[in-house]
Amino acid sequence: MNKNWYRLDTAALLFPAVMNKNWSNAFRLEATINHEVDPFVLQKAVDDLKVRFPSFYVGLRTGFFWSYLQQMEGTPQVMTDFAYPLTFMSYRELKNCCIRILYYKNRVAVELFHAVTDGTGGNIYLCSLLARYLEIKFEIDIGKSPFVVNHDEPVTAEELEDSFHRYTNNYPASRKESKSYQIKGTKNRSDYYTLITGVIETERLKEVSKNYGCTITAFLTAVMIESLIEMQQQKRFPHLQKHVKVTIPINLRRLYGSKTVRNFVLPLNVGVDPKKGDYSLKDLCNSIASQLNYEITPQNMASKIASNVTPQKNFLLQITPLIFKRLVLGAIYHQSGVLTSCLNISNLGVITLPEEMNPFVERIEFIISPQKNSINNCSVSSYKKHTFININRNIVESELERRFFSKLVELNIPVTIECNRG
Amino acid sequence: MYCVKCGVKLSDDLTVCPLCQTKVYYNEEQIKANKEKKYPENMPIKNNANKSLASILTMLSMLAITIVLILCYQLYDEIRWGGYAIFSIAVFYCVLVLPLWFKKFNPIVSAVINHTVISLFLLYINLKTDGNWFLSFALPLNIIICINVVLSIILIKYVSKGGYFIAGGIIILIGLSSMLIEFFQHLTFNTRMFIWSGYVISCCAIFGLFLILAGIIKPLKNYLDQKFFI
Repeated sequence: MNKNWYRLDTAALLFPAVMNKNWSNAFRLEATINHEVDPFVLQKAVDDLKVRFPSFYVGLRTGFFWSYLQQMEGTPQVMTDFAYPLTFMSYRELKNCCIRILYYKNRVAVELFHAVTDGTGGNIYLCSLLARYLEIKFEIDIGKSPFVVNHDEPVTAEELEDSFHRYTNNYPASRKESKSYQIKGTKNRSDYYTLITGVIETERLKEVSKNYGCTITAFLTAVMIESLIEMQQQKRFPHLQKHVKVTIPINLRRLYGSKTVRNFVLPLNVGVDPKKGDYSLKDLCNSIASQLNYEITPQNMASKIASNVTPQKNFLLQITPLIFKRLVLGAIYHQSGVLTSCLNISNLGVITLPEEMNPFVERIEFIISPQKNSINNCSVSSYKKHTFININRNIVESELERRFFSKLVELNIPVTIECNRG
Repeated sequence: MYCVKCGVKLSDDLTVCPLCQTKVYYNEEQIKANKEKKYPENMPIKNNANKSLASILTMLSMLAITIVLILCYQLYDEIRWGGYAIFSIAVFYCVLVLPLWFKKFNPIVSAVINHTVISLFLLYINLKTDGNWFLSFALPLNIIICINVVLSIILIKYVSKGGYFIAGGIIILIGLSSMLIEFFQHLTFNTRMFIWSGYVISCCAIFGLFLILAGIIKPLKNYLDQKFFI
């Protein structure tokens, strides 16, 4: 008999423990196609992918010692999209299904609870879903790409593995880190998110980043940190300035060549201490680029993985009931995940689809929900000629977005702004 | 259309720049063309009622009552102490299980139901023990507490401003109620008046007046907000 449940991977252990009645750690990937979505064909495509993505069609269940993912008996039903992205996923919903497949006009969106997979895994699912949808709808054959898997191919064990265990070492890195400045604002009255999307020409962004001698991720992070420094300077006295840090999730598949479709990212905090002096954008770009270069090596990352994997092997921790583990994990998350950075900048990178799909797919976007106690989050994806920068927030004020996008305009990068609330 | 303040280009469906809230002016034809919204209006259905837990607890309560009844009739051929156990289960059920059945349970209704059940429980004890304290002490006491709770809920839930005045008023009300309680205690048990209620009234009055003052004096209010925010 096939195994119909999965242990949570190392990164996923945290997410059920820290979710609460109003917040669940989820992310969304959406694609805009050149015609109105046919929900029946989409449902057929979703059904066809069940065998290929068994770890995606799951519900979150609670055991005595650990949570686990129980495979669904059927497949998720496609639904019309909601009034705003990433509406709350309740325990009840997650128990049945951790994935939402949504459509609205010519947009297909996939919303995933983070315990199932990360952005890259989710993107492979969305692109494969689109490929299958187009195959059924237009009876065409679609070739291979790093982001599209054929629904007929068998699932490999490597795709379902918890790669953290394979690429760890015996030297756990310390979790100790200085606290970061936190943005504050007036909470939205209900629990909706305001999403501002900046659309930029990728070539222009690449050119400017190159002029500053860094990658697009480092450049955008530097611009964001500059905006955050200005915000802090306006609100706090100079001697009370805190570090300004941003979390960048690092896709470890590129580093180790893993093929897993489950979580395999590690958050990395980068930033500067504004008390040390003024930073120009060039200084920030240099600093962020060198921090990323220094940290992102297989050895350093293996040590960081070890700090998450080693505690799991502790027998006493293993036999501790889940309810107590959740308390400990919640405290660790608050200390080392929430307080040590202002927000996340998650860059999915350039998405390339097989040539047959390009005429049908117009844009692909990546959206992450704000973290539990932070109020903004930023995600980036590039497809065809454009880069989409999504900043999601749960407060009224849009100061960060205004500063960030205005800076890009000042640097001669034209930005087109879209918003989910007109 | 570009935002004159931020310099960003705005998508056609926006009437206000989402970054700086500057208004964007379109002519009528453009407005017609731009009406398509990026997201639909529908919202996910939130179901806060926890019916599975409620049904499990209901079954457990019924099981407990059945066991108590069987035990009592087997041992004594009458209910005896079983009545106390059954009423305790009923109070537990009304306080904790009943709200689980509903999506939104009105706290005022909940308070009234809870106090009614508690009053019935006390009446039962009174009858069983041949005490003459229910009508002159337990019932008025319960009604006073119920009125205090309901008033507090109304003030907190339906009056959005003046938190300090509300808190001060509620505390003074609790102080005054204590005097009333002592009066009923005096009527029922022939104790002396104003033994303990004086202390409660003076403490509540001082604290309540302090909070009302804090509501009036802005710097004090700001200081308290800063030190004791939740």
